[in-house]
Amino acid sequence: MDQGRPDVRAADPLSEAAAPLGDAAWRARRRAERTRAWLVQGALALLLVAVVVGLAHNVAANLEARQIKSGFAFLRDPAGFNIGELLFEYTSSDSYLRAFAVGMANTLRVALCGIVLASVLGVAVGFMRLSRHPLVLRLGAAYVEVFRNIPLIIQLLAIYLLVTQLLPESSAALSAGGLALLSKEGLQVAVPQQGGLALLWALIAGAAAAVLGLHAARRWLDVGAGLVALASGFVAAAIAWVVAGFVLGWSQPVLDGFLISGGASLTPEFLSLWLGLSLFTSASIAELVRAGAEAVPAGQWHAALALGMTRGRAIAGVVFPQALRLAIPPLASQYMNLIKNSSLAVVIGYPDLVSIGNTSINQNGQALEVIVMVMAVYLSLNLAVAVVMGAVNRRVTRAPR
Amino acid sequence: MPAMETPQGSLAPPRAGLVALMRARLFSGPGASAITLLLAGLLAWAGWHAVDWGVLRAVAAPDLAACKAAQHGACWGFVAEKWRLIVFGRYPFEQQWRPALATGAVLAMLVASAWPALWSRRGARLLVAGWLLAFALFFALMFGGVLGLEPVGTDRWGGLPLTVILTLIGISASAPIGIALALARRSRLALLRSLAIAYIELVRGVPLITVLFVATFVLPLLLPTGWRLDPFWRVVIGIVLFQAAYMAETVRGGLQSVSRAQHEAALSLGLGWWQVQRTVILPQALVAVIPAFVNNLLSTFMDTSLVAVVSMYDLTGSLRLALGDPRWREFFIEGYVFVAAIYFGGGFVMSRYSQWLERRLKIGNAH
Repeated sequence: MDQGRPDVRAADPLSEAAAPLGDAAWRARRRAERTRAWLVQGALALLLVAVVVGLAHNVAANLEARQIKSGFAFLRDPAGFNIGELLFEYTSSDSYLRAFAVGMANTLRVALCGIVLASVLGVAVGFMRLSRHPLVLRLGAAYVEVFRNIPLIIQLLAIYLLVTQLLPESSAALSAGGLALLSKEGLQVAVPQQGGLALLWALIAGAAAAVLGLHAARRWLDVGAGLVALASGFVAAAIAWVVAGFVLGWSQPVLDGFLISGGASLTPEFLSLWLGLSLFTSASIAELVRAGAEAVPAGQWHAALALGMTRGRAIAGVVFPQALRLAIPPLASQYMNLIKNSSLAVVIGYPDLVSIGNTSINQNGQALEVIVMVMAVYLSLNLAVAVVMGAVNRRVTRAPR
Repeated sequence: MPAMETPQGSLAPPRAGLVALMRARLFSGPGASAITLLLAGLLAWAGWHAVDWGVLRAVAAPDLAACKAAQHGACWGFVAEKWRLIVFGRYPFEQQWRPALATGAVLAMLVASAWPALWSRRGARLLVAGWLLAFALFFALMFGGVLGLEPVGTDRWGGLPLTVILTLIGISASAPIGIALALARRSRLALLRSLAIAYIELVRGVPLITVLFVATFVLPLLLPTGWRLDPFWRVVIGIVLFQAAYMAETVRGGLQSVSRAQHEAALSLGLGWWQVQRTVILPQALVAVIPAFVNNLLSTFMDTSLVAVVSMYDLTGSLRLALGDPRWREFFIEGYVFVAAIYFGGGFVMSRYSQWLERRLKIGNAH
């Protein structure tokens, strides 16, 4: 059958092998262009190598003059400094590597807490900005303007001073029914005894509720189902955690003179950084929520209301899923900003990765190695956010537009 | 005339008076009324306390004893006592008219540049000349050593002049680098393109503090032995290199907004690559990103506050310097309110200006 047909490929004017493109002059010009491209790139590569070699030579000479041995061998040396905030065991005789791990854990902790609180505040203020009520609307606008137009470092320093200067001494801590104590020493909250077990229960309950919520919500919501699942997971986990407290007994913060013992403790540094990061980032998130909702055409609103949906149903089923599509890529970059901004911990003395790095540079002068390590960590954290948010984005945009 | 009347009244929509409007919005239902009353009460309470603290019981004179005696009032006396230190940093006290004049000159140029009537070919030349003059004047006044002015080293610079000059150098030096990076990112040369992408993504992926650490700790190692660079210039280099990556992304957005047909039309007229970029693509791309450019200026202005971490006394650093005085330390709220108001004023004006430009540009495109 096929033998009778002319070869389509040979007739294709775009196939270079069969029939050369253009006339001779055009081909000559193209060849010259290609040669020039190679020459330019070759020169660029040479220049790059020359610059790198020159800089490496300078670095080597400078390090020798300062008697600093380059390389990552110092990571195994004892760090020799104490860290005020630990998620796992560390003493000053432990290695630099362990100190960096502590710093990284602290960065992750404040970044995760910050992302959760900033999202909650941001969505709430974003809805305020969409309100028809003039007072609510203006209040939302004022919130956004104030927290966006004052540098984060000023906010952090001010919040830290407010916490450490204006709160009462630990001997006169503000108490919430014995369950939480707030003072210059930070916030101490009651937690269930055997915290690990309680956490496990909470996680299991949360996961189960999330799966159930997803199935239940999928019937009437498409994109919002994931959020419903997330919210129900959180609520169930919180309830399970509290129940675990009543079953296992509470470890309450107890005030004894100036000392507070028992319960879980949040230091003033952590509280200030957490609050500052969340307030600053939530202003930007609120703007994203508003921009996303306003980008949904008014016709969608009218159509949803004309179908007899209530205002809430129209938001959940029609407007929100479309707004989410627009808001997710910029939301990802806000989360990355929050992670990067958590490095301002250094100004209030929260021992995050950058603070630990700064301390060790001042101690051993291994600036190059420490900075390379710190930058590599931030780059990989950003990459992780990009991957997660990319997956969420694919999930959200999967529905036909 | 009764033909115009319907049982409900006039066919023309009723003119909503202020009272009617307030009623419709603020008291449209029981829920709205409750929110209105609650918020109004809360705002009145907060407003009264703010006025009571900041005005009625406040001490305005730089009198420490009076400040300590006033229990529940603000001590603006701290600002009155320390404002020269906060605004001008450690610049020699009797010479502080120089930074004031220098900052005034560059800020005047900034305001002039914000005037869209000057964004023509001729106006742009005028602006460039004006900026060169303003920068020359700024550095002549700040450094001294000419016209019989006493020389002052960069280590004594501080406060608002430092913040302003770091912002302006940061934005003006990063713009050409950013344009070059954006063009390189779209280049057909694979090596150039990947270098540009690597640089932009690396810098955008790390916090500014780490870049400032590079400038402070690593830059001296990169220089030939024996060479020295003032901390001021190190920080300038750090901010410029950081901002260039963000500028590159802003410019790239503009380049993408120019249609491909423009490029092809210019090529078919026989223009070379450079000519196409310079005369056709860039002029359109750069005008399209002016609002984004103003946003970059705003974020650079905010970002300069981080230099306080590497012991520079910009507005943030000099406030901490002023609070270092143990006698006045307890009045930190007043100090932070003062400095936050300066940043807020600058940031608010810039963000409003950028929004105004964006609307103006949209209207221009619609025609």
